[in-house]
Amino acid sequence: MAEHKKKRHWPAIIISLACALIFIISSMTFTAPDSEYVVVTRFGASEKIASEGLNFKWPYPMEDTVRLDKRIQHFERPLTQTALADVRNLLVSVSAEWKIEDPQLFLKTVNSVKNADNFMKNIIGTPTGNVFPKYSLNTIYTTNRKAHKLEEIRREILDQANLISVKYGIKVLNVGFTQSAFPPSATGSIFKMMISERKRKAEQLRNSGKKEAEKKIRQGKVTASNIETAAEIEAENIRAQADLKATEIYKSFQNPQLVAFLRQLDSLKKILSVKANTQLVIDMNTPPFNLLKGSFLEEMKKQYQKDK
Amino acid sequence: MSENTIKFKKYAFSSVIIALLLTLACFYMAAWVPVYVADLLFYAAANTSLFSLLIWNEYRLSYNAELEAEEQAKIKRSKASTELFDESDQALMLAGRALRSWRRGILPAFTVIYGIGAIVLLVMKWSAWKLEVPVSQLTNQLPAAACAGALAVCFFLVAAFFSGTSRQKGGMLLRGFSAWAYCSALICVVLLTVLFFTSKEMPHLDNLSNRIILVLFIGLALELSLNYLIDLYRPRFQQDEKSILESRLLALFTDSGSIAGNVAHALDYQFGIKVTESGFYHFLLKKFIPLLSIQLLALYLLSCFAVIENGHRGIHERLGTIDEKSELTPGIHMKLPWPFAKIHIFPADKVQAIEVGQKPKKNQGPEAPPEPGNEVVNVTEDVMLWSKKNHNEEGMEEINYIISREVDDKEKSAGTLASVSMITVIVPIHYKIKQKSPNGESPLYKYLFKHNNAKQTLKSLASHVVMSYLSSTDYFEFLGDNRQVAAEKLQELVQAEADRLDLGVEIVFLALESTHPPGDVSKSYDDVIAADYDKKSRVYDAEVRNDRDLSDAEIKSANTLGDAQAEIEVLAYELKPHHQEILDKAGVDSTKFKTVDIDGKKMTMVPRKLAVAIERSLRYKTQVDGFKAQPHLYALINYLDTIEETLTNTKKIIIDSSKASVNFRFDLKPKLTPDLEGLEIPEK
Repeated sequence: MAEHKKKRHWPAIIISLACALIFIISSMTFTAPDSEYVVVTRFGASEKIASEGLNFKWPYPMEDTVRLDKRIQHFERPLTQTALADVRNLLVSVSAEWKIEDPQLFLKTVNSVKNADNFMKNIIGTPTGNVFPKYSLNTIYTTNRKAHKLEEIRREILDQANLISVKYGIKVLNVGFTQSAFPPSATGSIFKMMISERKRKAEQLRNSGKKEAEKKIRQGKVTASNIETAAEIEAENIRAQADLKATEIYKSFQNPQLVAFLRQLDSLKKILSVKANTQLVIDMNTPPFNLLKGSFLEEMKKQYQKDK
Repeated sequence: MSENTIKFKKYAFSSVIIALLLTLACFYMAAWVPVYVADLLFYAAANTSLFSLLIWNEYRLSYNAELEAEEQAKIKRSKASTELFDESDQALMLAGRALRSWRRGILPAFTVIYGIGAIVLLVMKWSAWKLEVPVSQLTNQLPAAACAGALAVCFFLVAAFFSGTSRQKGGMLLRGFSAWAYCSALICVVLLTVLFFTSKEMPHLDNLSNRIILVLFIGLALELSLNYLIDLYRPRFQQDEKSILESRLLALFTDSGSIAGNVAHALDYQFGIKVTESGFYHFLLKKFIPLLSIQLLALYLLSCFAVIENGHRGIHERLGTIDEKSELTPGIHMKLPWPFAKIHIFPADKVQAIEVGQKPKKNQGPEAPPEPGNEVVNVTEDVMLWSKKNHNEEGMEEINYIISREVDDKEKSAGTLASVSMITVIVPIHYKIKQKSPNGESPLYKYLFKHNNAKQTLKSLASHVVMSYLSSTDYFEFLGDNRQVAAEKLQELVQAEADRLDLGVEIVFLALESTHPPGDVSKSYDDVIAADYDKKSRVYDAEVRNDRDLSDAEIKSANTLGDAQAEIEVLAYELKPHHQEILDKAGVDSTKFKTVDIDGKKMTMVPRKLAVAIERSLRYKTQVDGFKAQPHLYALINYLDTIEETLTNTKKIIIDSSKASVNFRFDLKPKLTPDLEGLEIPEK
């Protein structure tokens, strides 16, 4: 009976033993992947850094493992106001690539990659604040390649950052500036300057257009005037030629007084024949209105007696 | 009264107390430990308490009914029984009626309503489930795991005790309670595992467990709501009837005996088929475990193969170690089974994209109104203008870069060394993982294992390159026509930076898109374009006016010349002898004039002016003759003729100038309103 019971329970016993074995093995082994530092701690104290691959340790709580990311980490400091040498301000966003250089020191000082951002803020921020004030805006923004010092600033910040980061077991591999800006009030002024500069350009164009147009109009007027004058000259010339022959005929006129009188009459006809609201104030001495005086009867009477 | 009824009533009552205490402990556990499985443990414990209450109530009602039946029997024995008395007696058995209505009405209705409610609750939990693992909030997981272990032991002991008790006659009801206690114990074990492993190597264990347990609970809730219905269609045999509170699904795992045996018994019970007596059942009982083991082993061995699809590449990791120079190409690959080896597959040949020049938009209050003269142009939605706000990607805003500006001579003389402007530029960058060079380190390895977030690093490097390039480039030169050169230069610089940091990527494409002045000033740039067109427009207008003036002048000159020409135009004129005489006197050679024949008359083509002069000369001759005859009279007649002819229709005011002392005042203005004086007398 006891034998039969043993047989009935052997699968359960084997499974239990297998589970126990797996549990013991898993608590005594660990793998250190290529992308991680695995620090073995003995009763909380950092003991050694495990080599890549399969490793052994005493079970918890005698020994435990702490995993730290071996890969290059990225850090970005948001836009922060920085003073420059020429008493100007600039907002600079600094990014950095860093990695754990000394895992045991890192574990002691920073403890985790997540906590590292709090330290990186200062590791990058302090050199940024130290280096930028040595340079003026003219050396950061200039088209003169020789005077352009941004790369120099970058290198200097990187060097200074590494002097600090070594105390935390961190190595800063790269520093970069992802964005720069002026303080909002200054940005507004730059926008205003750009708008004014464009306004100036627009005004210049409009003024030059105005000038060019006026010039063209003036030139046109002169040309037109010239054409008209030339035509008039030619017309006068033609008329003069025609008049020359007619004048020869008029020369034969013998009584200039009569001619003048008749010509005056012709003119008077022409002028007064124009239908206009003409009103004439005429002196009573003007013939034939002198008849209105009645004195002509006396004169005729005198003439009649004289003739008689 | 049966002793069992009293005993089980007491057991049920004690189960209620124990279940409530354990539920309270689970509630604290759920509040303490921020993992999903803890919530589900509380749900299971609450169900255990609820079921214990229901079971206890049923035992209480059974006890009352039995007590009432005993009293009824005593009354029957002490009095002579009649048919009429019996019926009235039956009507007074309230406890029995209460038990029947509980079993047939209240309990089934409750299970249906509760089952449906539980399904709704669990589905809602599934929908509201966030996928993030709250590992960051998980502190003191080891004490929590210890508590979970203790709870598991408690639940297990309680379940085992009541499961054993339920095998006694009349204790069937307690199986529903013991099944849920077992279930709670199991979830405690899951919780313990989750707490132990979540912060270690399996961060998604909580999510996975939560998902599985939720599905199980939804199944149990569905079963509970259908239990009454299923029980109605069950063949009735002479065996213990199961309570509708007892889950058949849970019983498969919690009843004594093997799972296969429990399945067979469940089928026997539900359908009346004697599965346990069939040959197939016995065969399955012997071979099920080996077959299942082989299946599981085959499934596990499948983890020794990995298929890398076209366009992908892989990195082989064995017990955490990676050969930095090896890279797996598309095809099937063998490896050690999980968890000893892993192949990381990545779409390395697929071109990926990042974009520099935009950043996530901050939620700020309403935008300030634009400055006068710089208003945003109203455009339709599908027109992208620099001056139009938010024309970029959803939720993103453009970065305004500072760019150098060449100082002009005026500024130089004023002492300005450098000047800046602002510019907006979006730089799309496409990249892919480099091809592996022979004997070189794998670029995919560099991309995946050397950098925590290679994409972000590349974006950051590209941002630096763009910012640095703009800081040393002239604004107008950059906005001009050498953007292609700038893009090529930037691509070169980004590639150099990526190589310097060993990113293992190849920049396939880089372009300068949407390069323009910031939106706030772009209106003024549009205004310059408008001014240029204004200038052209003015010049065109001037040219039009010019053309008109010239045309007018030409017409006028043509008219002037035409008039002059007309004066010397020849006309056909009959040149008579006296005409010839005048011409001769004037010394004009008439033979030079052409002659034509019109209607049989010989006509001479004489200039008009000459003809007029000839006629005037003739008229003058006659006038001179008249004048010679009566000089005064001739002049007077001609004068008066003219006056008559011209002044007849003219208004005349005749004054006597000899009366110099009189002042004459004339109002020669036209009258606005007619008066009698001005009225014209109509002609008859």
